[in-house]
Amino acid sequence: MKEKLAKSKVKPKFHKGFFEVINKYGRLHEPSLLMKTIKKSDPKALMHNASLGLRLVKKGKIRLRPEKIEHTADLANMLQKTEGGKEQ
Amino acid sequence: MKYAFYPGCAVHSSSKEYGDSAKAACKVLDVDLVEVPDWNCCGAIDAVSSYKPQYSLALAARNLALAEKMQTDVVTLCSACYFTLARTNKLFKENAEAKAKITEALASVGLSYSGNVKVRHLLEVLLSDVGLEKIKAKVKVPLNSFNVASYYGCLLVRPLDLTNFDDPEHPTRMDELVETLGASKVEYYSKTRCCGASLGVTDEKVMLELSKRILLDAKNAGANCVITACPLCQFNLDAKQKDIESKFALKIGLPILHFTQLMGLAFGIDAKELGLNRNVVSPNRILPQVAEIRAK
Repeated sequence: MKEKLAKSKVKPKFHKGFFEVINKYGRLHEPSLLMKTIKKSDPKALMHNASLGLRLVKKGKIRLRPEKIEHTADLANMLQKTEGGKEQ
Repeated sequence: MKYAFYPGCAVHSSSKEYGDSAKAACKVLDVDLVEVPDWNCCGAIDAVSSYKPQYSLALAARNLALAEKMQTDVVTLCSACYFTLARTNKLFKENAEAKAKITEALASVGLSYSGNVKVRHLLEVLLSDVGLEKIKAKVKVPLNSFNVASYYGCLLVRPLDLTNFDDPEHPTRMDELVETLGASKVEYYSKTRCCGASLGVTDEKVMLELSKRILLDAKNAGANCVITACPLCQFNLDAKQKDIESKFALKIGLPILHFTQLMGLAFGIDAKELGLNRNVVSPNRILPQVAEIRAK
């Protein structure tokens, strides 16, 4: 089990990608996160995500343009100055 | 009654109908939700804290500092935001090191926090501050034909030292709300089991298995719909239901409503205003029953 977890590349990519999106926009933008997380070399995964994406688009559940907070620079500065924020 | 409203990211994107229905139901109950200006993502439990732990504290603390300026309790719709903001609040009050780091981070952008904000979930606010009696008085369409499985998930009632408004293992207050709206509560085993949360992105097969158990349990217990109090739980049970059916060769077809949508239906609010057209599993099968009651 430990070996399996250690080999997983998705979860660290998810956490890193999540932070990058928040650092840029201040709020989560799900399509941007997904693009940072999914395996683009895996056609099966791409097809599966495309199918879910289509379902969500039909229901108006995908916001194509990211929503940004007003003070994105402040937020990025605050995070940069926060102690202990070393990459794991 | 006025509250600082922290919607969280999902309510501004994939779960817009949750925010719309919450505002519509709150309007009926004279509850004023005023959005926290320029709020940012709370850090989403482990999504940021697993990557850079101290950043998670700073992200949540900025929201608390902005809410504190509004001099009222901060209310959220999302169990994960609720947990993350409440956890940071508790750390600020009880952990000197965390308090110092938060204070320093906020000061770098000209903000401060004194620890005077109370973090609350809208469900608790409606049950505690408004009360079942007033809610009952606003019911125009008793939902007699609705057999509702209330789904709590993990973080709405746990850990107890952060939430403390219902039993952490056998919660019942959402069921009391269901009965107040004229619907029947459905007793089932999985009401506090995990839906899989963000594993839907990182390890989908685990998420699908976890959500499948909840859906089947609710359906087998006689539910004709499930209500949730968290946009991510709702998303996994609703938007991923088709994937669950496909993976396990099942037909479930169980509508998953935000609890505010159920309240709105009982208050006689139009289904479109409650965003029911945005639910992935169509609730149309149960909506004609609402139309029939209205017509009488």
